[in-house]
Amino acid sequence: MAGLFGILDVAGRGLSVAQQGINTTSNNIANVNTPGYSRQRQIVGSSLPIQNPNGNIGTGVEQTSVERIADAFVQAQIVKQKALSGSTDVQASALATIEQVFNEQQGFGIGAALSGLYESFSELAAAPQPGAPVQRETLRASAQTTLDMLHAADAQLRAQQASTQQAIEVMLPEINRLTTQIADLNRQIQNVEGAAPANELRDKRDEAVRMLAAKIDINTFADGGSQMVVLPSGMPLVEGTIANELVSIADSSNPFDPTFTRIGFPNGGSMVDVTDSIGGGELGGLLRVRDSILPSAIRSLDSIAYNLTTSVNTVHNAGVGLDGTVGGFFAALPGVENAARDIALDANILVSTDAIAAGLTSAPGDNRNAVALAALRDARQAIFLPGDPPGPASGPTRSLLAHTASIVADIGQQSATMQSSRERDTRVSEILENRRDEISGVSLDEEVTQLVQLQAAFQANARVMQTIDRLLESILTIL
Amino acid sequence: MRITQSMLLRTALNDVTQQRLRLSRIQEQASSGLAINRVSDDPVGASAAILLRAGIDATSQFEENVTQARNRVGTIEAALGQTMDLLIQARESATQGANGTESPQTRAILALEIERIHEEMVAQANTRSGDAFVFGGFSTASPPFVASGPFDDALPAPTVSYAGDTNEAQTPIDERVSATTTLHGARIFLGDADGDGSVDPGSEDLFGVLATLRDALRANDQTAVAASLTGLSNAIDQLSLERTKVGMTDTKINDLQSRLAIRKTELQVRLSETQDADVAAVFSDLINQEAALNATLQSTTRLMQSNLLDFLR
Repeated sequence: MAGLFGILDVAGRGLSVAQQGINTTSNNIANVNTPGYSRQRQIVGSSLPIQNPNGNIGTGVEQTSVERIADAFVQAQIVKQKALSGSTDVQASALATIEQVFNEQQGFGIGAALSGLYESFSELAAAPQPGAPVQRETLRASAQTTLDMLHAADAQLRAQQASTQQAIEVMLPEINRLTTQIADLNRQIQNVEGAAPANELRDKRDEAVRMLAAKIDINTFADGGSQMVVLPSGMPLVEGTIANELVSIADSSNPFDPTFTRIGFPNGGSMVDVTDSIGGGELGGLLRVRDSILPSAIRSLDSIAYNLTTSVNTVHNAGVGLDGTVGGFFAALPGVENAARDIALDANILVSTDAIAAGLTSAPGDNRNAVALAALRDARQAIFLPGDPPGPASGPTRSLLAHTASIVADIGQQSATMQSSRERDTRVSEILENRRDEISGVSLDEEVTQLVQLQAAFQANARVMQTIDRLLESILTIL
Repeated sequence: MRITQSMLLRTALNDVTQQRLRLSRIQEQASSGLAINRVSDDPVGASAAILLRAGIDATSQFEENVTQARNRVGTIEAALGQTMDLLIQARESATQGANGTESPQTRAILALEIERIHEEMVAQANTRSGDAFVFGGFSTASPPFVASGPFDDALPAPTVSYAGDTNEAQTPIDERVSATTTLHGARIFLGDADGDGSVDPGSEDLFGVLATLRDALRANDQTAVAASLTGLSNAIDQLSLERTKVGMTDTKINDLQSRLAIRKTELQVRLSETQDADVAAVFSDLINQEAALNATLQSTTRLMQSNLLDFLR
């Protein structure tokens, strides 16, 4: 038979469990906007009864645990999606900047400059004055404008490449900080979880893994209480409580800038170059921008500059300047690579516009070569691509203006594709984050309902205590 | 399915961001008047626009070239017309001089008249358009026709030699179309088309014909004066042929000018169709999008404000 004091004990425990429940609920409410927080649930069970042949005597309730509601599968999906989004986001922003270099919608750009140059050739061919001194100056100025345009575009793309390199270098310490943090959290969780589930630490670790996944594509799996993080190539970034740091290694043979760096993973005593295996995350996106997207844009400019130089020079070499000079219009270029950076007017043309070969003779009225130069506007030629010289041109046969227009279309298409990828990834991320919140997020309505329920339980238990108190009082008055 | 506060917030935020983005794109179109504001808006259209703009530039340049060519050809036509007038005057003088009733004094006066015509014709042969001599081939910087000296009482009359070349400059006035803008003067005035320095068979040296006539008049040689009439007629025929050729060039240029204007308009229309925004559509889109944004904002604020606490007292 249970004594009154025993019942008082049951009520006391009921009060305490209700109070702990309110604590869990208020903790949930307090963290309603905390990023990465997973709602917690009080797990209660009736405490073991006192065995009695006349019927077991209940001893009330006890809190067995506070559980964290989280779904490892959704977390894994988010980790994969973060890596995709991080990469497309970086690439879409980069392409949005690159396409501005090729944007001619305001009426100026490389295509317009080329067109202007051909116009100047035509103007020279129609010059009313003997020797055409004015048209020669105009032509040299408009050639200079075309060169300035190419130089500026090239410089802009190279500056973007350099700033991408900086972003890559800044990214590495961030990744290393996150892997260290995950390893630390692994250690803390191992230490704590002997006693009770380390809910907050696991939330923090999941959040850190998500942040890491946005920066670099990783595979994760649980190993006991620890979260293992490995690169797609299999190199472990976090092994239990040990974090392996990524380091930059010099890339002195980079064709654009020898100060560019690659990503190394110290594997025992040797350094493994993992650059090519990093395809996702912001780092993967940055590497793609630096090593693939920007180089292809720069080489496109180079092909315009090189083909302009060779086509104009071929015709120009056949002519004779007003002063008898025979030579190129542009300085000769060794190859397509870096042509946009190095393209320049021929030294003779810089000294005197009389070196411009308007005719096949030096006669002041001879405009035959100027006519031939003006005809280059529509002349279809096999386009030299990077790597062609000294071999023959391997590109398609088209006019230089058409080549320029197709480059613009290509860059625009890349940018448009990447933008729609970004939109899609944003949508998918939203769906996954919502899926996570559906499981782990705090719903105020739910918590308030819980609160009302716990309040009632607390009040009822208090009433039991009051009743016992009365009963004790009545017994005491008898005495 | 559980719906939590953060889900509401995230969805609302993403929707508003998307709508703001769409609105800003429409605003961009409205303010620039262009449907393509960056290459990725329409890569194919943007690339086509580059070629269309280059085509318009080229057509404008051809129009400018046509203007230059017109001036040249106009000058050439006028010079040849003047020369023709001079030859006709010379023929009148020759006809008069060949008349047996005319006195030696009259023939002396007629000789002076021919001297004037000769000098004027040299001036016409050295006509310039701008600063360029148009009858010297490619040698446009210096006078192509040089007289061996002034007229004096001596016989024979001074000769005229050609300092130009046998080329003719072609000004490009359209794709694969050009206008002849300087002429091989020796062919026209000296009857020397092959440029060997002597008169070709069947052609006339205009200055030579005048010189012979003048010398005949001065020598009061009625027969020789009459004989020179044949040379004058041949010279007039020779010049008429050249004038016809120049006239054809002029007609070609005139036709082309209107064709270029039409082509330019066509290209501009196509460029506009490719890249310009449909203003009416843009503004109706703008209003629709604004309404959609307002609706989203309103529903979001109302949804986010309400929860169970509003009803627990």
